Formats: sequence, structure tokens, C-alpha cells
Amino acid sequence: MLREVLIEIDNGCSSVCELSEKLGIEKGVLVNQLQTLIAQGYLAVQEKQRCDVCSKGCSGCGMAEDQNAGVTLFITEKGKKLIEESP
Amino acid sequence: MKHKKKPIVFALAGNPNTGKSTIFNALTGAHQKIGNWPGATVEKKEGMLKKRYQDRKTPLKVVDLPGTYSLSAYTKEELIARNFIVKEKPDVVIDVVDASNLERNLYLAVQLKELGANLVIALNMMDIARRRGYKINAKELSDLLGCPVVPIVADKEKGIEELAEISQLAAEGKIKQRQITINYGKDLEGEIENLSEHISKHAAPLAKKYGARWLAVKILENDADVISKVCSEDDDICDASLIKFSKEAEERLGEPVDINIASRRYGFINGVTKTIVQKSPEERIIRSDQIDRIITNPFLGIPIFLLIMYVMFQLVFLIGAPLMGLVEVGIEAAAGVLEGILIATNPPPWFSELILVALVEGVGNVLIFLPNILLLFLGIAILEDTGYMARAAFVMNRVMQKIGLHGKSFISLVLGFGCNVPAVMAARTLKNEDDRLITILVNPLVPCAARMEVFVFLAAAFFVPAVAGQVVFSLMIISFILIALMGLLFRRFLAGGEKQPFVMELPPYHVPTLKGLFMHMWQRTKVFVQKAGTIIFVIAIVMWFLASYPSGVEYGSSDSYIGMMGHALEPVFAPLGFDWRGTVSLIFGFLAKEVMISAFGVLYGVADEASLSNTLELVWTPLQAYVFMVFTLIYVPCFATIAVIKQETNSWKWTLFAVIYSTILAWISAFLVLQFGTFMGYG
Repeated sequence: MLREVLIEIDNGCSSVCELSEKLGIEKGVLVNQLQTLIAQGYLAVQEKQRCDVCSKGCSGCGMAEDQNAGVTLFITEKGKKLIEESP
Repeated sequence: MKHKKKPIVFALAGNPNTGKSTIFNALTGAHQKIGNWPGATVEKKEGMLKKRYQDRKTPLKVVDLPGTYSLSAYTKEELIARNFIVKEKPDVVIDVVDASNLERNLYLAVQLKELGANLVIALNMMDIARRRGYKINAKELSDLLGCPVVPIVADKEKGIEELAEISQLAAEGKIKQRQITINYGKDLEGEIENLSEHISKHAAPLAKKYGARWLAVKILENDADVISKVCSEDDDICDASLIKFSKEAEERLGEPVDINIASRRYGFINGVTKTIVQKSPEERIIRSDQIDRIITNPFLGIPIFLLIMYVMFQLVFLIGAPLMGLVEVGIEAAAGVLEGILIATNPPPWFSELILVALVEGVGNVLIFLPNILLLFLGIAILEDTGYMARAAFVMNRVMQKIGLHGKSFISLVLGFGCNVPAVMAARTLKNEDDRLITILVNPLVPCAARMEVFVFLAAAFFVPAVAGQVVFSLMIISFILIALMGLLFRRFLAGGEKQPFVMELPPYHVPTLKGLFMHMWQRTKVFVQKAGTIIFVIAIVMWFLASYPSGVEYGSSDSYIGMMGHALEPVFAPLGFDWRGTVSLIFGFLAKEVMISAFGVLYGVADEASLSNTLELVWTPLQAYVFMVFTLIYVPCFATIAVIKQETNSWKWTLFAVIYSTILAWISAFLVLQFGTFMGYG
């Protein structure tokens, strides 16, 4: 079940909404499964880079904000290996 | 001396955002103690059960466990919750489950049952579940999971009393639990059995405490915490001997054991929910998903995005025009007062001139355009807070992937709309050098907020409000086209790594709050106003100096330093129709793009009654202004961005390339636009 989630992401299914429709899993359940895959190291959350140009840091900089931007998950090397080894 | 009775302990578990805190507050009221869990900065809350909920003599304590999605040991919250249940052995674990997201929440409930907790399920948010058309059979859920299930609506305090009563009965052993065992399949069950025997033999105390089967499953899941606990029990057990079980199982299953175990649990939960929940298929699709089907549609997504941008720019100028007039009146009045003060105090002529040029013409003319900039940031804040911006990024990413940009590039490019500096830095997440380089090189083509401010200023100055929005919109289109073209071109020469598939969890749509919108709009506007008061003011002084000296020259004449500088470079920009003042503005734009706005005020010397817009209209045609904007959109990024390109590429060669290619591209693009515009009769 979780491997299918990874395979569909690898096939280009890039939104949770699309993915849940394709796999016939409820969105809430799918989000939970994605969290399980993150915890197990098959997916990784896109980390945010901090700009160190000024001394204030990004928290005070309206220019660097990416408000309400959602969460992007990428397949890790471990995840890729699992997909490659799929029958 | 009387011994204090040991209290009965209820542990409150559950996924985050399931109403756990509401239930905790409802059960304990004001009798709460807040601290930290030992050795962690995770908040620990405990309190005594309200008197009205208990009629027993034994005191009853409620401990709020950290919100977790599972009981693995991947996060400290999970470890805290798990250790508390195992070590402290609470009399009852109340698992707060969101009934409107039942399948998702049952993963933790199943793990709690596997751990052997004395479980009571608080089926919260029943009202929302009902509204979504779910009919949940709580009795059947209780039968299948072998524990009491109490439907509640915590925020209305419905069912709290029953929950307290059932939990007390469970604590007293008056409600029996039935152990559930998930079947992990023939291959794995054999391995679990072997490992359980091994653990019972070598780590008997631990097996008694946790249960040999639970330990075996956890070891097969590669749970580091459990593996270390078991290894410390007996010298005959070591990591390698335990991992051997996992390896053997993996070979037999053909997939990692942790994946297989989690899939089996989800399979079990899926079976449970299918039995106990009735729902019609059309009710399963919630409104947010329905909107997303249209907004993120592969064919409709881009036209919708463009339409929204178009409408936003149009509204900025149509609403902003009358407001700008008001600010202009205010600034003129303030300038009049300032001039009066200067006349009255009679300072040296050079000081009066400096103040009037730098403050009024430099900063003042920038601030006249503040309403438009505020409206632009308000529009962006609305798009972000409603959740649309994340969809726009998602839609645009499809295009980027098609032109060969890496999946992670789009995150960096989206950041570029705020500021190119963090955007270039965000390319660090790309592992492949070529992918990183392509992302860094195309990044300055994304119009940052500072450049948008310049466009808002010039469009408002040269075009009527109905056309100004279209002008800025067209610049966005040019930017997208160039990003695509340059991405394709760079991809031909730079190999790039393998594709990196991704999935985006988009935030739900919601109606933004006025406070939230104001905060986001102000955060951005503050940066602009601060720059106007600091960098722009200082550079306006520098420009005034360069325009006033050497001593005795006419202000801003060809003989002044700034005039000499502008004239020296004028031949390069003459084919684009820029005079020497425009050329100087571009040079100062290298320091910070917003400075270009004050440069116009200072260089075109608006000391008389005429507004800056009126003065500019006399010296530049709208086509020239548009060509200037195209050049500004593309040419060499600001100094800070160049510094960060050097830092990130660690190469002078690529830094110089970024500067040179963008300037040449800007010149060619501007020239083509000028020729086309002249041909079309706009000259």
C-alpha cells in the first residue's frame, strides 16, 4: 500500500488530491501515509533555506516570506531504491 | 499519619488538531499544571478531573500526552507518549479521534491497542462527521477494536460526562478490553514468532513489560529505541543478531519490513472503517478538492492563474489612482511646510537644496506611489492567505518540469517573487550541480518585489490606470517566457541530474482574516518604507552630490559628475531610447532596484509645481517607459543577489556569466520591444 503511494508519486502524481483519487484512498488517510513514509525515510520534506544577507534573519523580512505555501515532499534515495526494487 | 491515595491516571493521547486540548480543559477546568516533559522542551500538561465528573473517593489525574500520529520512535513526541504509556502505565489511555478523519486517526488507536493500553476512544467532532455525511457506528467500532468508544463533540462539551464515566469504569476494570492482533501475513508472522521466542528467552523482563510480540514487531520495523533496549538486556543479543531477523523477512517479503507492517496496519484500518462508516461517494469529495479540480487542472490551471494576475494588476491601478492623488496632495503640503521651515531658519543654500532634493524629490516621490504598492501587497496577501498562491506554484511547476527544470527549482523560483537573494540560496537543496546552476541562473529573471515596485511606479506614471495593470501583467508574461526559454537553453548545455518526483500537500482554502491580511501586507510594505527612509534617502543624497558637483556646475548638467557618468554610458543605451538620466537610474538600480524610483525624482528635478508623472511624460514616451521596464525586468540583478550568486556557485566565472548574460538579454529584449513598438506606431 505504501509502496504504491511512492510509485504513483514517481509516476508524476504531484498533488495529494490527485494521488488520493488515483489510489482510491481518502485524503486524510493518504496524508497519514505520507507522514509514515517521511518518518521511515522514504520521503523528505523540502527544507526551507534561510537567507543570511542581513543580520535580522528572515523572520523580520516580508520579502522572504512564503506564506501558506503548502508542504512539498520529495522521494529520497531510500524511496527511489524501494521503487527500483519493486516487482 | 494518613497516606495520600495514589490517583487514578488518565492519559490523553491523539493526533494533533483533534480537539485534545479542548477535552483536557473540559475534564480538568482550571486545575492544571503546565511544565515540560523530562529532558525535552515538549510541553506537559496535567490536571485533576473536575469534581462534578467523579463520585469516587480516589483522586483522578489527567495527563495530556504530546499530539502524535503514531507510536514509532521517529520523533521525541512519539517517544514521550510511548514511554509514558509503557513506564507509567496509566490506568486508562483516552485516544481522542477525529470522527471526520476517522481512518487517518485510527492508525494511532491501533498502535495503542497493540501496545496493550487500557484504551477508551473519544470519538470527537461527531457533528462535523455528520455534516460531511458520515454515519459512524460507534458500537461496531467498539466491538472491532475491543475497547469502549464514546462519541463526543468536545467544543460543545457534549459527551464529556459520559467519557469521564466510561473511563473511570475502564480504570476500575469494570469494562473489559479485548486484545486485537493484526495479522501481518504468513511470512512476517513466522518471523515475529521466532523473534518473540528469542526475546522471551534473552530479555524476559523486557518481554514481560512490553510484550514479546510488540517488541518483535518493533524490532522488525527497525525501531532504534526498542533495539537498543533489547540489546542492553543480554550480552547474547546484539544489533546484528536482531537485524538478521529483519533482513531475512525483507528478503522473503521483497520489500522493507517497516513498509509492509505499516501497509498491513492501514489494510486493517481500512477494513474497520469500511465496516463501520457509511458514506455516499459524492459526499466524500469536500469542497476544497472540488475547487482544486478546476484550479489545478492541467489545461485550466494556467489560464486561471493568468486571469487572476491580470485582475489583480488592474485593480491595483484602478483603485490606487485616486489614493495616489490624495497622498500627493499630502506630500506637497509637507514639502511646503518643510520649505517654509528652511526659509525661516535660513540654513546654507546647499543644505536647503540637499534636503529638498533628497527628501522631497527622492523619498517623497517614492512615497506618492505607496497606495499602489500597498494594494499590490494586499493582492498578494489575499492570494497567499486564501491558499491560492500554493496552487499557482503547483500549476506553474508543471510547466517548469516540462522545460527541464528540476522539481525543486520551482520552490526557489517562487521565493524569487519576494526576493532573489533567499531564492538563489534555496537552490542549495538541489543536489546535482547542473540543476543548481540552472536554477540560480534563471532565478534573477523572476521579478522580485523591488522590481515590481519600480514597475508599479513607472506604469502609474506613464499609463492611464486601465492600461497600467495590463502593462505590469505583460511584464509578468515576458518574465515567464524568458524563464522558459533560458531554462530550455541552459538545459541543452548543462546535463542536470535525474528527475526528482515530488508531491505537494496544498493548504486548505480559507477565508482570510482582516488582521492576517493587514499583517502580511504591512510586513512587505514596511520593508519598502524602511528602504525609502534609509537606503533610498542616502543614495538620493549621493545622487544630489554627484549632480551638484564639481562646484559651480549647473545642477544635473552634463558637466556634473553624474552627467559625465551618464553621458559616458549613453551610447550603449541610446539604441534603446534611454537618455543619460535613464542610464544613470539603471546604474543606481544595481545597488537596490527601488533606488531607481527616487533617481527619477532627483535626476529629473521636480522642484516646480508639476508632479513627477507630468514631468516624466514630457521627456519620455510611454513606449520608452515600457522599454525601460523590460530592461529593468531582465538586466543584472541587484548587488546583494550577485553576492549570493558568487557565494552559492563559488565561482567568479558563473557570477560574471549571470551578470553578463542577463544584461545582454535585457538589451536585446528591450531593443526588440522598441523596434516592435515603433513599427506598431507607438513611438
